[in-house]
Amino acid sequence: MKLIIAIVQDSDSSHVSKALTEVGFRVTLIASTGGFLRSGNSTLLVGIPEDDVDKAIQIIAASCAPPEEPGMKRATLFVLDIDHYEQV
Amino acid sequence: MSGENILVAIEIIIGLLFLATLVGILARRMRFPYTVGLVIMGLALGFFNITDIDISPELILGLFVPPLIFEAASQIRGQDLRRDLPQILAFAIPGVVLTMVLVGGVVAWGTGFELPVALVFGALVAATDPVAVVALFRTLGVPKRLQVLLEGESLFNDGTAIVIFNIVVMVVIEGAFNPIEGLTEFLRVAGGGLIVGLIMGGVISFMISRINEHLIETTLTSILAWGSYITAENLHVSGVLAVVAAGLVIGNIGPRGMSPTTRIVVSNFWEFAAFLANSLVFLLIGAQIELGALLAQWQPIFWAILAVLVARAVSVYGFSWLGRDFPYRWNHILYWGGLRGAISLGLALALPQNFGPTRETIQLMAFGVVLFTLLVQGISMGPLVKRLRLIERSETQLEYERRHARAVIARSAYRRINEMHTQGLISVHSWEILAPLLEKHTDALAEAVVDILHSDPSVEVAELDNAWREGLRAQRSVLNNLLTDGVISEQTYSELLEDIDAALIDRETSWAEIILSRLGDRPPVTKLIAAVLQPQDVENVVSSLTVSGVPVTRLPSTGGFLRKRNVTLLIGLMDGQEEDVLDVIKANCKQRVEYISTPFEDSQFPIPATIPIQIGGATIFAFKVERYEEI
Repeated sequence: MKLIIAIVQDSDSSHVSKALTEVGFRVTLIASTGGFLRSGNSTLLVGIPEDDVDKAIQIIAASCAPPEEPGMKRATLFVLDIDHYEQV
Repeated sequence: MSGENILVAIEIIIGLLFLATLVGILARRMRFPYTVGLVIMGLALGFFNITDIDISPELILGLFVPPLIFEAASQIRGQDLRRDLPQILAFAIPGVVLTMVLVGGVVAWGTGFELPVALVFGALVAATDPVAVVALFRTLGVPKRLQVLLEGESLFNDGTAIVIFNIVVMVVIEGAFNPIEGLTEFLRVAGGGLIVGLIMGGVISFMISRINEHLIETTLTSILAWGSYITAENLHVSGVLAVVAAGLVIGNIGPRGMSPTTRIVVSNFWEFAAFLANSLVFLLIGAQIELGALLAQWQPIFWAILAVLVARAVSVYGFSWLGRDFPYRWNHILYWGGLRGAISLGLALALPQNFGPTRETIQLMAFGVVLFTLLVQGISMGPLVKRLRLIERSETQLEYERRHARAVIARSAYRRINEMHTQGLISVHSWEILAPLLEKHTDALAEAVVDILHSDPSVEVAELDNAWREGLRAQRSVLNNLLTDGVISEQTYSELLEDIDAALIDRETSWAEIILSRLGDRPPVTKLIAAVLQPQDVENVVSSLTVSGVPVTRLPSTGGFLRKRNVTLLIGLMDGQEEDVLDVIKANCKQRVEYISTPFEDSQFPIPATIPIQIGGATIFAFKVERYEEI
């Protein structure tokens, strides 16, 4: 299992989480602010099987709105390895 | 000169300029060298006898040559000239003498002229005039150094050829030659001309540095260009060399005392003056040539052209051992770039009336040589340059330019449409259709640029170098403003200017190394730290991390034990940054004592008791990041 920590803009967060839940990924949404994209950020925690990482990243990329300036970052993703994953 | 004559002259000049612009437009459309077009137009004028212009040698040498030479000399940077000075001087002095002797020999042998007469011809065609070639070089993007070689040679050999020509003409007329007298005469005239030019250039540069008024400064440079010629000629020393020296001085020392406005005005003015002189001189050259007379004298002209080509080959390839660290192929360009022009014609026309019966033949031969070099060599130069692959812009570079331009214009389109969208000038509906398309387009283009930068390090280096130099130039111009506004003193100015100039001249900036070290500095993010901090400490930690370039995201969180608000920071780390980041967190998160109120146990009344507890510090979790993406 992998954990994707995705930091996206507030305005994108609902699109992203909706798109991810639609294909069956479980998403936890945390409001956040700061550094990466300066202001109005949301952090998404997504736990997914290893094989789906690429798919999830594609979905996130596709559901972020186009940037105001081409070349601007829209999302920052960390992929972490998880030793143990359980849903109770 | 009466007023009426001046008006007639102006009428003719305006007419010629009109024709010149027509030629210019056609040359651009049909991609042939401008000067070649002018000569052909001039030939047509002469052929149909449309204008009756009788140009005197004084007109060419005194009016048109100074601006051409002055502008060319002022464009040559001292350091470029110094590097190839031995080569340039070898071409300009022994090269000219050698050319004269060889051309004279071949012509005397081929046509049966007396040797001194043939030598006069040799001297007058010894001056090369690469205007046509240099203009071509600029559009083709030939290495700057090759341009300097060809242009520097021509500047100095114009002067020496004129001096030697006058000496040889005297010999022919007087019938006696004293080598020592000839040499001292040469040194006097050439050296005297250079000295006049240096002094006048220095004086005018000094005046320019004292004045800050661009129109007056521009006028001063014009006074210098023609004034140095006239002064030197009046002192019976070389006027052309005086103009060369004056131009070099004003081009290298003058700009230090000019404000940015003045520099732009002066350089624009001279660009225009040189263009005018160039246009008129080549039109008039064409108009002077009578095709019929040329054809009648085809034999001596044939020998003349042959002699010029042979002599040029001997002097270029003969001197090729001299301090050369440039590619051997450049010699071919130097050889074929030895065009003849205004100076040769001016000198041919300047042959004194008492020169003898061969005067007219020599003039026709000079016209023939000039015409041949301009038409044949001038036109074939472009293909030759391409064939020898001298052009610095490689295919990848052109491809880079194309992609870069496309990316820039696409981005501006995106920006404009986005602007219209935010201002409500287009409907949301259209925006939603257009935005993804445009965005995809610009993304692809930006990636294409990056691809080509990666594929050819030399292109990347060129872009970095350009940007770096532009930055330095911006510094220079601001420094100038600081001085003219009186913010800094002359001393500070010259100190800082020296630094900037040193950096500008420095060609050794090794971008390849910088590219590598940049890659070393920014490895991908490999670690993620989640740090739980007290709210009071967050601002300090975030700002000092942001300053050092580490991205931070904050999440509001709540502590489990006291249910107090705290903050969790997510910090992405590259290899080797861990220590620094931990230090920052440790330095900014202090342990502190706080008091909390809890009701006493077993108390019947809610009397609060304050209990001191130690909180603060930070809890840090570090994770290994398997993959890091930015979208």
